[in-house]
Amino acid sequence: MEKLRKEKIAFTIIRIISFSSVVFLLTLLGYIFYKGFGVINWQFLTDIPRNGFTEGGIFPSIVGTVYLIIGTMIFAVPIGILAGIYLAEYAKENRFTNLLRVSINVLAGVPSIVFGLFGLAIFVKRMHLGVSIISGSLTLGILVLPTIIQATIEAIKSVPDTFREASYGVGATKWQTVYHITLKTSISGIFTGIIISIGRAAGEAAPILFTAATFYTRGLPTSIFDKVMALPYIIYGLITEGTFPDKQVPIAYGASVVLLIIVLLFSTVGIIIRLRVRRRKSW
Amino acid sequence: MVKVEVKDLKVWLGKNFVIKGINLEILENSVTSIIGPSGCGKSTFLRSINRMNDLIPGANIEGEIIIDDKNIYDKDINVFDLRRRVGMVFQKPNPFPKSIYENIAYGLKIHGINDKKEISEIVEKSLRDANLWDEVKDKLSENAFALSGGQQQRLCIARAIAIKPEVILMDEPASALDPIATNSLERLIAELQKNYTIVIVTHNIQQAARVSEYTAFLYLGELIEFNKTEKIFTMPKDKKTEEYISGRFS
Repeated sequence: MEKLRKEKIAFTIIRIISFSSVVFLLTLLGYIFYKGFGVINWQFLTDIPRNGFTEGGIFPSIVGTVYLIIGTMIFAVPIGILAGIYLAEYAKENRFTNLLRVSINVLAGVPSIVFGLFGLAIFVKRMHLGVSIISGSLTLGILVLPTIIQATIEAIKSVPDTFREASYGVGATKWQTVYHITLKTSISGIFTGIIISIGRAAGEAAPILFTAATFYTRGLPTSIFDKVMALPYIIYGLITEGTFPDKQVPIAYGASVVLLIIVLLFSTVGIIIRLRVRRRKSW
Repeated sequence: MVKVEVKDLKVWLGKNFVIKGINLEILENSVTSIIGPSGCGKSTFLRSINRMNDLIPGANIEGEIIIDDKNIYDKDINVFDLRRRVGMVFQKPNPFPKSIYENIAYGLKIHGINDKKEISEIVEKSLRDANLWDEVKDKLSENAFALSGGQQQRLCIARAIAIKPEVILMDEPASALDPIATNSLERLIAELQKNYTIVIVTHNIQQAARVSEYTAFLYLGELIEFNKTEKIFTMPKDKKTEEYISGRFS
C-alpha cells in the first residue's frame, strides 16, 4: 500500500509539473495576443511607420525579417547539410573529427549576443560589409549552422544501416549510397530541423543588433548592402528607446504577435512535415 | 566447374580472430550451405566473398578468394563491380523505402542502365524469376514496405538477380520468415540454382538438407567438414559434425 501511495504522489507531482509548462506557454501567448492583437489590421501589416513610429505599420520590418531569413538559409543550409553529411557518413573517428564534433556542440551553446559581436568584428568591420542584410545573414547563418549540422547528423543517423548494406550489396559506391539512399530517406528530417532552427533565428534580436538592423529606414532595402528594419529589433527599440510609449508600446506588442506568428508558422510547417514522414515511414 | 575457390582465408574483426584459415571450393550452379553454431563465423565467411567485410572498421583479411581465375582481394579489383557479380540477400528483408519498381531499378541505374524500356523489362523478368510478379504486377508503384515479410525477401532476391550476378550469397534468408514463406523461398532457391551459384548460410539444419547440394560445417572459425550434403547428413566423418547435426549442441 505504501508503494502504491508513493507512486500516486510521484505521478501527481510529475503531472502538475508537465501541465505547468503548458500553462506557461498559454499564458505567454495569451498575454502577447491580448496586448497586441488590437493594433493589428491591414494597414498595420502593409504600411510603413509614420510620425516617428507612433503611427502607420510595420511592413518594412516584416520584409526585412523575411530577407534575413532568406539570406540566412542561403548561407547556412548548403554548408550545414554538407558538413552534416561529412560528419555522419564520412568522418572517421579520430582526434580531428572529435574536435570538430565538440566544436559544433560548443558553438551551439554560444550566446547569440556573442555571435552578434563576432559578426560586427568580422563581417561589418574586417570584411567591410557594413551594417547590412548580408552581414546580418552571415551572422545568423553561423548562429544556426551548428543546429542545422546537428539536425542533419541526427536525421542521417536515423536511417537504418540495413538500407546502406542493401545498397552496397547491389554494388553501389559510397557516394551513390549516400545520395540515393541515405539522403533521400532522411531529407525530410533534415528539412524539419532546418525549418525549426531558422524559425528560431528569425526571432533573435542580438545577432542582428550590430550587424544588420536599424530602427528606422525611409523605404524598403534596395540591395543586400542596405540596413534593414527587422521585427525583433523594432520590438526592442520601441520598448527601450521609444519617446512616445503610449503609442509605441502597443505597436511593439503588435509586432510581437506578427513575429510569434511567423515563428509558429515555421515550427508548424516543420512539425507537419515530421508527422507526415513518421506516418509514411514503415520500417 | 569450380566457381569460387577459397584459399587459406583468415579474417580478423578488430582483435577477434574470426575465420582461422578456410579452404573451400564452391561449384558453379550448385547450392552450398554453410552451417554451424552461432558465432562460428558463418556470416563473416559469407561476407568475405563479396567483400562486405571491407565496410566493417577494423576488419582484416588474409588469404585468397578466387572467382573465375581472379583473386577478388587483388589490388586492381573493382569492388563495386565485384558486388554486382556476387549478389547478396540479407538475414532480415531489407528493401529500400522506395516503390517495388524502384527497388529493382535502383541496382540497374547505379550500374549505368538508363533506358526506361530496358529497365521495365528487367524489372518484370526479375520479379518473375523471383516468383513475385503475379503478386505485385498491379502495384509496382507501391512502397515495398507494404509487402509481407516473405514477399519482401523475394523482392530482395529479385533486386539481387536484376543486376545479373553470377553468385548469390544468402545470409540466413529465411530466419525472419514464417513456415509458408520459408517454403516458397526454398522452392525459389531450387529454381535459381539452374542459373546461379548460391551460397547460403543457415541456422536451420533441415533447411540445409532440403536446399543444398553441398554443405560446409564451420565451428569456431574453422572448416570442420565439407562434403555433399547427403554425405554430411548420413555419414559425417567428424565427431563434431555428427554432434551438431544430431542437435547435441547448437
